[in-house]
Amino acid sequence: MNSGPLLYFGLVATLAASWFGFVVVPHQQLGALQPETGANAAGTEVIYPAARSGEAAQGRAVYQSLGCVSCHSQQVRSENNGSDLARGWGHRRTVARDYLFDPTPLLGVSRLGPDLANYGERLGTNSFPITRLYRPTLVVTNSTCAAVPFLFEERPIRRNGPSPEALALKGDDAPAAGKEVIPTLRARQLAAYLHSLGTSADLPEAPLPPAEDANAPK
Amino acid sequence: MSQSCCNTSTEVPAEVSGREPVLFLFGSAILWLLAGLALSLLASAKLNLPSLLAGCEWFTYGRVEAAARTALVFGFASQLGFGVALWLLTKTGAARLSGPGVAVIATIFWNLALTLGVVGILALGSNGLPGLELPKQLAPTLGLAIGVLSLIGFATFAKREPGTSSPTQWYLMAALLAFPLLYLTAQVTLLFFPSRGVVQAIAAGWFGQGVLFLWLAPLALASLYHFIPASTGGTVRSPALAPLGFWSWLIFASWTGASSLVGGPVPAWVITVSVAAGVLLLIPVTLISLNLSICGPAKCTTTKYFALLALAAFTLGGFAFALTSPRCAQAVLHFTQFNVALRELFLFGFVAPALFAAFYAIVPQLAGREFPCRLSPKGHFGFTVLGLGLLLLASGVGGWKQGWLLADPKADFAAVSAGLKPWLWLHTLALAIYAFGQLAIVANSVWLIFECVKPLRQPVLALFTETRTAVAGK
Repeated sequence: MNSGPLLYFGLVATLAASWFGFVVVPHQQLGALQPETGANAAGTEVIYPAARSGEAAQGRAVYQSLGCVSCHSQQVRSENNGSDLARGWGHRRTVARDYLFDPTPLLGVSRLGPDLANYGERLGTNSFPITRLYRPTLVVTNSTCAAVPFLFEERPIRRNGPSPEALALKGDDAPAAGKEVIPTLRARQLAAYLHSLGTSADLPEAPLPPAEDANAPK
Repeated sequence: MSQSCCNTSTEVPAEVSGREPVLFLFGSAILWLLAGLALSLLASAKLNLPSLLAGCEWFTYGRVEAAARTALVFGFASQLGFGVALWLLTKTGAARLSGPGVAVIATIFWNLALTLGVVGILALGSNGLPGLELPKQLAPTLGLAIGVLSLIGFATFAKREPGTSSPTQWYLMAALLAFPLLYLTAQVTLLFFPSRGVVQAIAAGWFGQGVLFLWLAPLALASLYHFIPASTGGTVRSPALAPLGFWSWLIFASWTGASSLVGGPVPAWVITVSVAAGVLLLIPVTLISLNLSICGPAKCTTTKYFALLALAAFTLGGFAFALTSPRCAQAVLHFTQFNVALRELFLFGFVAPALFAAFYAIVPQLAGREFPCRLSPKGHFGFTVLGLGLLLLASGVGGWKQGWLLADPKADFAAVSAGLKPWLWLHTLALAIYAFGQLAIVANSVWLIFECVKPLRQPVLALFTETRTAVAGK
């Protein structure tokens, strides 16, 4: 222990071993992963995962920049690793292949808010209640979600009437007379991203449960 | 004791040779502590009052939280740690610090890069990699500063009496080697040439855990191995156990990289290895704790209080981490505030007090005078213990309950949030108490600087008056 070079050698070897284990080997194992062809929840054959469309991909950048990952995870654990499946947060556990096209996988480490791995599927054909971004408590009482009103703009109502996108705000939240609050481009991108979130496709390593067992996401 | 703090005699003992860089690192660390705690407090308050500063994009919760963590880890703990490391290397090796001027320049660049980085996180946003949020444009500057300071440490270590070393020096070498290597590999594999998909998450986990367990923990342990015997007047219980504790800590801690990914979409073996390594940390934690639990005849000093607090937090946190590592525990506790409690215990209970113990012992030596306020260190310690206890209660118990509610699919998510609410309020209160306590060390340091500058004021004033009379006489 008293020899400097021996100490350095031991330390470098220790660090290198764990670097090899956590960086090199996973890269070897997963770096060449490719999309698969499989059935989606509706039973149609699709290539999965697919890269996100333009607006959703831009929304991903908004989601990442606002640090939503601080409170929202995007991963579904298997049934013996928590209640994720029982809560209806997904049809199956998520696997490495699900994140193939994410520039940075936003797995998350905290669930101060619910998991969003399948949020788009939970929304289904409903459109995302965008007021939720403006003031979460208007949609979910007691929500602790951070409000992001800077993704909206207040503007005078145009001559041809209020915009169809204007938020329906009442009482104290309502804008001044003659004005309306509408989502900016970034808010619409974020909404598109949230709609794109879903992992319900059959994969060899994580098959979807048979249709009769599948609980519809709540 | 020398009268002036700025006496530059060539006959100074080795441990004073790094006065300027060490004090500079300490001063910046204390400022970052203030900034980091203010941001943490804001983040914590925003969980209770979501509409607080909601109109300002810079202060969105996710960004404030990332900025707070960055300021505390890279600004406060890392700089304080570097200062302690450089001083300990000069002291234990009886060697003069190599390149003190270079160290000062590296610290200036470090602070510039970090300031831009934290503002960058607030202004431009997080990059989604917890622990690595600093914008990548600043990574080369910060990395270079880290590399230069580490090299100065190595060069100073090389000047010790050949063929000797102590546990303090081993831990310092481990820390100074691990940090630049971790930083370099993380930046390259995550920011400049990112690998695909979840491979990034595994690498980010390895880096994040490494910064805590292979950089900050060895620094804090180095400080404890020096200051617990020094402040209690005792000796380490078993010098023969020290190498065993050292190597087992490094080997097991370096394999806990995926401990924040339990149950996640990564290869199962990665998680299994991490869980096993996490449980095996029981061995080094027990060995190190036993070895350092020393009773000595020396009277109580601030250093002793803080060092023993750090040791207690290390033991408690180490056991809690090891016992909650397995899958069955993380199935309940993962994603909850419980893991936040462990992180806070580590940073606020173990690393910060271990380095404060060193701070209170080193600064009077380097400044050439005692801290002016005798009461302030006691207040600092008292509020630290109180704040820490409440933080553990809020996040630990609150997180435990949150975990069990989350594990029960019949409990609505709104019910989980509602159940957590009082605990989040308590967390904000606890953080405020902890932060208030830290103001004591700031005030005492500022006062000390004034005391040091006082003897210089007379000659400067005289010079000023003389010049004025000369100008008036013309």
